[in-house]
Amino acid sequence: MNKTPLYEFHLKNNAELKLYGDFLTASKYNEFEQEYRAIRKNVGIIDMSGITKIKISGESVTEWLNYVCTGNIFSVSDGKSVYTAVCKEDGTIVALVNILKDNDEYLVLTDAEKRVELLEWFNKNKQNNVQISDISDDYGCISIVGPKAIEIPKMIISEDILSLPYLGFEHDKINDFECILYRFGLTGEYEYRFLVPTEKTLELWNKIIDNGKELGIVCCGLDSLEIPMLEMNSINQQKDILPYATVLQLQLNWMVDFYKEKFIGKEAVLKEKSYGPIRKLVMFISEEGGFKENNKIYIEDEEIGFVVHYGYSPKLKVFVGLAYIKTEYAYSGISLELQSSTDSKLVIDIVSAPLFLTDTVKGIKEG
Amino acid sequence: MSKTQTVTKSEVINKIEQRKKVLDKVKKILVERLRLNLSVEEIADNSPLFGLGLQLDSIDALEIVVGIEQEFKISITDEDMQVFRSVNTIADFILEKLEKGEVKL
Repeated sequence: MNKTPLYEFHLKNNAELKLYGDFLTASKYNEFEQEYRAIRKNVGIIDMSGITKIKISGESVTEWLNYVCTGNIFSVSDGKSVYTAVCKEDGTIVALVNILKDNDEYLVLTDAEKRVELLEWFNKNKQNNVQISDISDDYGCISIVGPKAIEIPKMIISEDILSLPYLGFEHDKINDFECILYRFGLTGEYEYRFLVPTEKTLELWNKIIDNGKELGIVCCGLDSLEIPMLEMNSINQQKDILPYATVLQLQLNWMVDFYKEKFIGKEAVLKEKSYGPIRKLVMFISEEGGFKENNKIYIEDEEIGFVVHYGYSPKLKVFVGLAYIKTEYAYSGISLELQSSTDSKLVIDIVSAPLFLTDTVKGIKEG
Repeated sequence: MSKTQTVTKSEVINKIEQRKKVLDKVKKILVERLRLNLSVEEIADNSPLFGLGLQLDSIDALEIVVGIEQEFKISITDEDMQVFRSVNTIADFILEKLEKGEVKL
């Protein structure tokens, strides 16, 4: 088991700890609604040190990554990243990855839970002129999330941070150490992530908290991201990707370059595209709870799907969920029946995603 | 409070057919107006338009607005811009206008 470099801090500050893959870190600091409010209205700080970090280099690195990922790696310029999928030959998913292009090498980032599986897959498909190094333990990762998150790097790095685009990254010096600051995030809010040498993680964490005090920064656990991600229909790799799920079933078509010459899983993806996926992941809302994962969904007496993931949205005051539904019925704007845990049937509404514009996006649009 | 109305297959199928028509038109506007290197079938209904997903920018947004206004003969206000989150949310907006009789397919 690996412990976050912030382990002692989390313990001292009464955080709840949980294993993510093989990595122990803070899952919760405060009541859920307080952490949710920080992310949606203000700014939260989250220890994401457990994320998997794999450095890929070598003569044919771009060609190779382009082969193992569904997206187009050749279109990624230095200082930018792409969010894409790594598939098996049958089109099922190994991991969703964020790939940063840093001159002649790449940094592949994914969830802590995917570390072993992704490394095994990369090594199985490795070519001679590509080097793969797992540097997960060499760096901590601190994320700041929320409509006011942009203020933190402005304070501790520079005002110039405003020009860093979504999916962009840069090398910065803070105090006496180097770090990578990248913009990513699946909540619809500003999110800045600092990749920092492991031994400097606590120093940076304290510096961010000190600077964020005037903004009212809130320490949040990693689980605080779950509902904001769900509201945006962002895929939770642990909950939403079932072993047989494919990018088309997850409606992640935008992660695929259908026209590049080859990638692992291309034949399966094109075949599924031509016939149409048999099921799709759709979003639903329900005013009432009383259901759970795997509860079945019906239209009249026909079973057409099941719940994979759900939670309560404090903003909308409804239950929000994701369900796999037979493709012929996988459309927003309809109502279906969900068999609740007490065997009664609830009417749920299939809805369009993302559910709303976040304060961050509204702020950007209003200039 | 529990929703207890009965869901009938025929009603659902009618709604789906109508949405399919709108989704198809919206996707065609995206592909043609923005010269996307994609076919209509390759765009998922819930594809985000900005940020991740199709990664459009503000100029693309204006192109889509003009395309939607021309195709459906409606005018889109600044307030309506919040519906430009995904293909599906644009379809919601058109279908709502259809229900009010403000749009014809």
